[in-house]
Amino acid sequence: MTLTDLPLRTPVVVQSVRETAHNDPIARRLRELGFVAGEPVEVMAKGPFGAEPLLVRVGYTRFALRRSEAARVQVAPATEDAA
Amino acid sequence: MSTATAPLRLALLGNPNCGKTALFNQLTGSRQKVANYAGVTVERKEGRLQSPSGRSYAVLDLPGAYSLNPASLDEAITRDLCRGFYPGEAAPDVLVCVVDATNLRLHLRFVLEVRQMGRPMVVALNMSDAAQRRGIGIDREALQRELGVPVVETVAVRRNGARGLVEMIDRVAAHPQPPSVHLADDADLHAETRRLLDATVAMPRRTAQIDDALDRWLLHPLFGLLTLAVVMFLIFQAVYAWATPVMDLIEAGTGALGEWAGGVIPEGPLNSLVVDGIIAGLGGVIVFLPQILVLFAFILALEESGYLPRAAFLLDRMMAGAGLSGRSFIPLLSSFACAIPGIMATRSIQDPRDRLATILVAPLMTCSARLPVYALLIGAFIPSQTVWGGFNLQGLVLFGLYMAGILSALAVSFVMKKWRRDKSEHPLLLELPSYRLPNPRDLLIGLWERALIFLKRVGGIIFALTVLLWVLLNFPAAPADATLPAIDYSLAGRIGHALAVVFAPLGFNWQICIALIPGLAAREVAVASLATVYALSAADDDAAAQALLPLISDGWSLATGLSLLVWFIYAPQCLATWAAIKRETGSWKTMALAAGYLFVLAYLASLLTYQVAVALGAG
Amino acid sequence: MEASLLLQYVAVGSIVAIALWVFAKKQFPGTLRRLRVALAVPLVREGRPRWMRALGRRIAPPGRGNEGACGGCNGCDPPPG
Repeated sequence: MTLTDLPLRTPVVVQSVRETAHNDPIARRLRELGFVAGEPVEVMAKGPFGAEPLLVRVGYTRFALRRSEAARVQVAPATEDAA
Repeated sequence: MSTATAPLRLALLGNPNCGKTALFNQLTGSRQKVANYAGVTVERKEGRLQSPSGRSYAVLDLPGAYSLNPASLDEAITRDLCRGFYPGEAAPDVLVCVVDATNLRLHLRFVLEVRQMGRPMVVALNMSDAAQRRGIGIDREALQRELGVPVVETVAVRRNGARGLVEMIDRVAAHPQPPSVHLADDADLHAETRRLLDATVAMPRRTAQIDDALDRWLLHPLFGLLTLAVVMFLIFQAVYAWATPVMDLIEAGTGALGEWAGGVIPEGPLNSLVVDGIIAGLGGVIVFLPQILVLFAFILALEESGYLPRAAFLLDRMMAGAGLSGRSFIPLLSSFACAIPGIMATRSIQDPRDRLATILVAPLMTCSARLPVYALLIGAFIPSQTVWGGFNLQGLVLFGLYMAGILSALAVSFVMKKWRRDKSEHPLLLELPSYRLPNPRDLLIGLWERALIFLKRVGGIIFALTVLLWVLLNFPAAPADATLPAIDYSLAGRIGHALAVVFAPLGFNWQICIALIPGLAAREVAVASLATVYALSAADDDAAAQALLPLISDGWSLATGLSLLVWFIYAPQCLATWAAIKRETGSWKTMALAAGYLFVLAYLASLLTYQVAVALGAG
Repeated sequence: MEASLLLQYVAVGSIVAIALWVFAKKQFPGTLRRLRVALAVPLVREGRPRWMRALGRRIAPPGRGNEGACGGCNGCDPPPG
């Protein structure tokens, strides 16, 4: 399941960030910004036109992501309460 | 003579939105604008810190960077400079890493990256007051121990909020040491960050409840857009409602000054220069300062509050459709002050095609120099009435002009996108910072700075051009058998008449044509120039004493007024903008393209406006 | 020409000269610098009287140092530092 498949305000946990091409700079950037395995993540809002961009909260930071960017992030349901 | 030791060099670095700029202001005392966007963070922002212990430091405010693994020009500069690889810059002696205490999960990772460089550093835990308020408990000493570098709490927006930091800097600078903890080069920084956070920080379950609540409304597809539209709308209404009383005062003042000077200085060239040239010209521009300030008060408040990235969020899809990215939003917004910092702010846009598109349309954003021209023309040709149950018509028109600039920019960008036939990705990855209550002190400082900039421009280039124009309008003197007023024989007068041929289809008379030329250096000089031209071509003293506004209101047709308004939406002139484009793109061709397309658009749009207006009977 | 008129022309001339200076500084800073350097160099040569060398140093532009990328932005934003 990726971020783009999530309904609004459903807390989940990041599993991994997929690369769409070799040495994908966006994937690397996403990882650096905090999209790492184990991080709690949630989609807070969707843009007015075409449900894009997505407002994603990872950890305690909020980012606006394109659907194509968010689609790289694989998530899984939260197994325990995020600390 | 004692050998002066070069002051120690400090570098401030940190993620965007950590309050680094406010901290820089606190440390150096120099009043820099506090903004959330990169346009103000040009690579060389340097100040001087005088610590109470008497030591002096050179402080460099580096561009905000999420990582030392650079993804944009800003970040590359930050990284290179810290390592000492930046040409012409010595490596800093002490690094001050600024972090947002309310967001350590993100910022602490950056600290770890910086620590890997192994240079003496200090961590400034900024916004520690906000962290406390949100219930985030940070064990500073434990953090210091775990990190192996000194950690100091700061509140950049509070008076003396950086005192502890300065003391720590003194201590570190006296005995600089590399961090006492060092990880292997390939260490997993995220895991380490999490470990540190678990050990030293107690996060409450849901920190930013206010942010969530506000975003629920402000980012709602319907309400969010509605709120945005309403906010924009109200700003322009306020500009007229609040500024007008002050403007009347200024106008009365300059009028009185002109009369006094006219009486005191004996008749002759000096009288003409001072009264018809300087006072008329500069007065014509200064009167619009209140409007500029009101507008900027709103823009600054919006910036400080953290609302602007939300606006970028709402508009991103629309901008992407036009070939711009949501990241262009903030450089383009800078351009509302002046396109030049906006063009420089595009350095934060990674994608070179997006960057080029943004640079090319930035001049279409209604810069503050256009405001005096708009205000003059609106004042002269748009009646001051209320329409639609309470809205000031003049405010509506001003809003409309700004919208026209924005829509034109979207249209131009769209055309460029189609031309480029580009199908690839345009990254967004925009951080939405926490909402903040705008600090009144920072707002006032920002407004004061803007007023100063404006007045400096008036006293500088506008003064110079007004005087030079006066010279050109008075020489050569009329020949003995002159039939026309003297001004027509002057050099400027001849040029004006020659240009009038080219611009006649647009409804521009020769006075306008003259005024456009000095406008090349500064758009608002057009107002000053018009004032001077009309003052000098007045048939007698009474006519000369008339203010500019009623003169053009009576003398020009509505069609001419509208046509000139439209010209200034595109306003191709402004050599400084062209120079900035050339500098940022490194290409004469791009600069020529920008200037060229703007000229063509301006000419065609004005032509259309004038001809249609005349056809409708406004000629 | 009577004294008052002469005085006026002097005043006007001075103001115009200042205006030209400001204009050149804003629009052609590079050219202006070179001009100043060119004027100053013959004045500060060895063997010239002290007053001439002092004058030459005054005319010469201040050292540029690290100007940074935002030179010539026409004062739209506060200058660095």
